[in-house]
Amino acid sequence: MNVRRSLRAGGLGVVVVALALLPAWTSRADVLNQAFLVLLYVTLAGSWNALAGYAGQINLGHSAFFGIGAFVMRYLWIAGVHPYLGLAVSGGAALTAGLIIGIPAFRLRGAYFAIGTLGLAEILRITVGNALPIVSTLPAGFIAGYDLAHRYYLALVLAVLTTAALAWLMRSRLGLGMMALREDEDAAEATGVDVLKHKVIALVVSTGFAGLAGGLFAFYHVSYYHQLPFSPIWTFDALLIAFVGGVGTLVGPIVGAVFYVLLKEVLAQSLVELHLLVFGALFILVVLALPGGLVEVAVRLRRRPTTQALL
Amino acid sequence: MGLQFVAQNLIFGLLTGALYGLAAAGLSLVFGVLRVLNVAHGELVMLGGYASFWLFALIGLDPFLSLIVTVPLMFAVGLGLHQGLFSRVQRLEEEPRIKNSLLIGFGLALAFHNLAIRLWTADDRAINTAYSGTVITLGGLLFPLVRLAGLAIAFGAIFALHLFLQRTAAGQAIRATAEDWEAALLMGIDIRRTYLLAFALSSALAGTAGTLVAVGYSINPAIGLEWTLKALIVVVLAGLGSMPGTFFGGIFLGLAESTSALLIGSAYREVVALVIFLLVLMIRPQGLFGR
Amino acid sequence: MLEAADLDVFHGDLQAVWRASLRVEAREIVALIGPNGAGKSTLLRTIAGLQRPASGSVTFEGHALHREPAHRIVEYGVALIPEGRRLFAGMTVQENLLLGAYTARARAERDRTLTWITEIFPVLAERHRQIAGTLSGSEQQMLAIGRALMARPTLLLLDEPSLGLAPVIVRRIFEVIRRINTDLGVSVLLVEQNVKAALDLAQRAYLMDGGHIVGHGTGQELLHDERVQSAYLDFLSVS
Repeated sequence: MNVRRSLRAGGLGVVVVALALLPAWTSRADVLNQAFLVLLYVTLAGSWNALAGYAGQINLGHSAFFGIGAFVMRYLWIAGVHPYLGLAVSGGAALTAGLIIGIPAFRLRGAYFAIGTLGLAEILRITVGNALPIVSTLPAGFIAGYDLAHRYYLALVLAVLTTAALAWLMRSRLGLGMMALREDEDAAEATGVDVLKHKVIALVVSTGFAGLAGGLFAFYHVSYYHQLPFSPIWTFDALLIAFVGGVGTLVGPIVGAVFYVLLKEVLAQSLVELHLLVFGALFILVVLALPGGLVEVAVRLRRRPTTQALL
Repeated sequence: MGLQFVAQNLIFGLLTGALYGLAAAGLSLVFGVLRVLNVAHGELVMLGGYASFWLFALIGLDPFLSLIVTVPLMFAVGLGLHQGLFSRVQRLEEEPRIKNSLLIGFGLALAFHNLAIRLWTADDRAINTAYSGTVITLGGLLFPLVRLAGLAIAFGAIFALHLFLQRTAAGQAIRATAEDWEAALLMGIDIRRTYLLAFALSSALAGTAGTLVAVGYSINPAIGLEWTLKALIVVVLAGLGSMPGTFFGGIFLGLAESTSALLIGSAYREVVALVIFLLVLMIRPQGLFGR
Repeated sequence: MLEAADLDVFHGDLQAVWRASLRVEAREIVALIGPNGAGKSTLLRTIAGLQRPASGSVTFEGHALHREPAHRIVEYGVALIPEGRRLFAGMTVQENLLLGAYTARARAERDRTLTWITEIFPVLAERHRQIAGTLSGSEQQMLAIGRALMARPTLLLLDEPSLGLAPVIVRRIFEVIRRINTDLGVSVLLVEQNVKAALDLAQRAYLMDGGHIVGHGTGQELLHDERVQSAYLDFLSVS
């Protein structure tokens, strides 16, 4: 078990180093952009996974926190705040929003929580869209100093941080409690797990990293409509990637993100948005037949014990 | 603000609300009987609308007449979706069943949405018949004919559904299954067929709403999420178990939206509906009329 | 008429019933007694088709019930009144009764059966428009029995009919069960906590403990069985 774990950690480490060296090998913007996108999705899907895969709560309003992070970052950064500070604050803002929303929202169970968060995210999106219907653009000075490699590294750091945090969480006592309540909330409560506390912590981790991802988004894009990061497509992307990759697993979001962006690239040559159809179908397949996603497929192919069936 | 202006807005709200009620009736049926949340319900509304639209565009079939074709069509779609997908989660325990059905619906919604864009482009479509512009004037107030017809059909459909559930054996079987599926089994009711029927009916209802939307307003591939939310809001407002209650819940939502549009402008209409939704969800998840 | 042979039934991974065998002959009343958690309800539910046995068989008048879904078992003539009655609480008394006659066979004679039931339970006729959930406990039990009889069963399975009912009502209910057996010729398999009443009523009885059938005999034999006597001393004083 320990050998496997160190091998896997080692494998991931090699991947990280390779990724870190990527800008040294190529300065092609399209490659870096794609890689950036993959890393952003790793963070986004990983953050959603924290709540859904570990604590079993389906949050359909994830984009709200992504949006809050983007909003805060954009505002602070353009106002002159250092981007790293801006990122930290944006993560904090999303995290705080998560706390404010989470504690009352968790009074709702299961489906009601999902549709409640969905409603909430829609409220936020419409409000932002009404208040700021314009495109957010960068001042000229900011565009001149734009460094893609810098943003790429940030994305890599964020993806590593998210994965590391999830790995730590998975092994901690908190993580154990979360998984207990994912399996059966009432049983967990009966055995003394403070259900609300665990849910809130998972939510805070989830929204915090979602906010950071949003901040990164705001730092990366030169111009976009203010309401774009609040759009439900970010929630849907996170869901799709996490599930197809393997919800509740550590590597799932990573595998899913790579597959997602690759598929998008490949299919974009032929037909627009076909990758969403494919992913939608794969998603249904995963939900019905393959709870462990692609990770489970890989594991089964090697005929090792499977990941737990989830949900 | 003139009285006429207010009254006119409320009338529009009423007419729209009837369609909300119709869409919600289907969702209520599915949630009440199968205890499953189909978040692709709005996509079924969209599909029904497009079915009528294309029948009109290609062979000139009057949209109200097209219901003769689209209702059985959407019923069949519901049959297929349940048999193929939703039936597979029926045997699960309540929480995993709701979660998995949520996810399946989500995947379906995504697939349908994108399929619709690919097949029919993202453009707005509306069915414009010879009489689409006809407006009935009563006491200075305007009643667009197609929307009035929509109200009548929505009301009629829900009334028929209500009678079906109260008076027919199959309808009673549906209600019994919703109350207690094990007890229903002990009555000799084949609950799998009941689930299938309920789901197919809900799809037919959604499709009908779609046709009425296409002829009275407009449709495009993206309306799915909006209509799912509207239906959800009404179901939460009205609670389960009463079709007439659901219809009036829809009317209520339509009126609430109009009223808020009058008070704070139409841009935030959706927000008001959603806020009401969240409030009811938090305070009274079983809805205003529900048990 | 009914033959259960070597039934093994599980709740998830836990075995609840071990190689249980019993039979009910035509026009018989058979009691199934035993302590809480002995598996009596599970056995009854398995016969009714709400649960699948892991192994063993249930045969009723030549039909293999253990392979059939519950709703088909009703059509063969087996009706279960489950523990807690499980009425359709939101529906009226009338609607509950009519639903009892859902199967084609029962529907053909629905009106006749309804008349007969309102004779035995006049209160159901009085309250036929009342919502079932608002009835008293004893009225609910009467409705549950009436509803099951609407299916025109030839074998009636009862799971703890006396639960939560006052002694005078319990006597009434047992009288009704006897009448159903003698007048209609319906066989009865009865799970009961009220051991004395059950053993007085039944021709034969089985004793169940820890998932096993551990005793079998006539009603009187079991009543004087020392295991029953020692375990249910309290219950013997209830009549």
